Amino acid sequence: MSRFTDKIFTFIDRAAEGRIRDAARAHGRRSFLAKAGIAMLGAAAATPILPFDRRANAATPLPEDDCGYWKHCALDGNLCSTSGGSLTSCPPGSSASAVSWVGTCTNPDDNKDYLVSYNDCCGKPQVNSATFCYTSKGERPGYRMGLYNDINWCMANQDKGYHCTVSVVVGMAE
Amino acid sequence: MRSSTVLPFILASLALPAIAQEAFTPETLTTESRIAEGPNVLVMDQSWNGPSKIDVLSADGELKMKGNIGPGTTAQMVLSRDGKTLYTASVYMERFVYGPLKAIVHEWDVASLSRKREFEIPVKLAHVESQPGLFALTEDETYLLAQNATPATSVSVIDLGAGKAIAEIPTPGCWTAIPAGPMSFTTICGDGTLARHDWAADGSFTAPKKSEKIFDADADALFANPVRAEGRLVYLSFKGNLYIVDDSGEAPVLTETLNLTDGVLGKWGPGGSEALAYNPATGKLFILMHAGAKEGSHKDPAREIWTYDLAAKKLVGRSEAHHENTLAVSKGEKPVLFAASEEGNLTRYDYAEEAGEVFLTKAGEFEGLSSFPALITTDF
Repeated sequence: MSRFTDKIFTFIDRAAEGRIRDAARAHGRRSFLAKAGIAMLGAAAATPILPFDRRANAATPLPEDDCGYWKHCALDGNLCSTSGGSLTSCPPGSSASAVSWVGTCTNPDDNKDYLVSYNDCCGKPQVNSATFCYTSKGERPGYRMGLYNDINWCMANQDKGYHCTVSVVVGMAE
Repeated sequence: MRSSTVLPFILASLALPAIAQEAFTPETLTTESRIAEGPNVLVMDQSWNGPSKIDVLSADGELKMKGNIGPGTTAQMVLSRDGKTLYTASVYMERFVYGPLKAIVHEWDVASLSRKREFEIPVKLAHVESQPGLFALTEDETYLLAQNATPATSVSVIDLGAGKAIAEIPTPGCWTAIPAGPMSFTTICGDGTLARHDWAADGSFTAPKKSEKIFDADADALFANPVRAEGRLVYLSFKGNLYIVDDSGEAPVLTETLNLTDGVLGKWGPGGSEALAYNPATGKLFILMHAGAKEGSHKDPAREIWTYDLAAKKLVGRSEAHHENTLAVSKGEKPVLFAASEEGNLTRYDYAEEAGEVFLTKAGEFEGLSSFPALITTDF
């Protein structure tokens, strides 16, 4: 592949990819991927023309139901807030997982790192319309089990069916 | 419609039943006894609620659906060397999403897509995305190795002859069980080591033999599932390094590290659930790669598939990908690649080599095949 193409990709990655992915996640990963080709073309065309105002971007915090919301930085699963629960509560009739994985996410308001416990909610089917997030900052394979997000964390519960995932801030990272 | 036009239609419709009765031959209901001949690709469509399914398709450009196989929830799979038998391990909750649980190993006949045998294994079986290192068959096909997680980790050694688990080997802080001999496996651990475990036919086992520290899980973590090439294990790191490990001795030993991305612009890095595949006949590694790699992008979909010549230690091809995050390659001399995307599309790639450069070309696609295509394998 030519250096020119590499430069194009690098430019897009740095300037646009984050925004594309964040926006797309609000609509679910599958619809994002189906439209990714078009989106990338659009980004390539638009980015060199439009100014990128970081202040304006920072002043518009993402909603909690957006996969780009800061507490969801290592969440692989359905948002409980779109499954009948909230950011920190399991939907009625489900049970919170007894064990969880942990992410370290940066709060854009104070630029500090926080520990986020990702608990699964258990014992019910998944909600088809729930927002599915697939972020993996700091995520590691099963040899670092406490950071691993490809496993069903309902595994230690009496009711083991995976329902959705909450993001609960449990402390500050060092 | 005028009445003069309607009358002939009424008359014609009255006459129809008599004509049809004379010509009618009843159809016969049958069940296909075998799938069509020819090489196959098997795609695990894993479910976390209810049954998983393994779709079996023709491996040619048509990717024709031949049928499926139906294990339980969070299924794992491994194919026998001759491609005739598929083994799965999966869980069954009595009330689908709650209630008492059973973990079942199934033995399936690929030619007829039918059940040959099933038996229970320990319920500690991990409920986890399908991966080759979590359910593996020893070289002589005597034992299956199944990953457990409660979340404490261990490995069930399953004696296929006896149809039961004969041992649960604790593997704290470690993950996967890669067969390393008739009665041993290698596992990768969060402290940066690899460990070898051995067992005996009576179910007894010895203490693990740990390597020196080989990698840093914070600075440059390794994907947990390696490929075996020329007898050695090849692990891929999040930052695009290859770690070559000899696990034939007492304890695993790192023999070499290689870098995929040296001199390549664009911050390329590997990404996906199964980002690495190896074709033994050509000695080529294939890697799903994305640009703009950074912490947390190690599962991002691929923009390119890279081909790396392991013997020459050289990147020999970069081909366009289609947002896949799971990759597999056939074993024969003319590699055929299959890759699946998160949106459930399966893409087939032909392999061509010219003047030392490898070109992978899209030659077949099955759109919307799966909900969660977690793992792909081929029988050729």
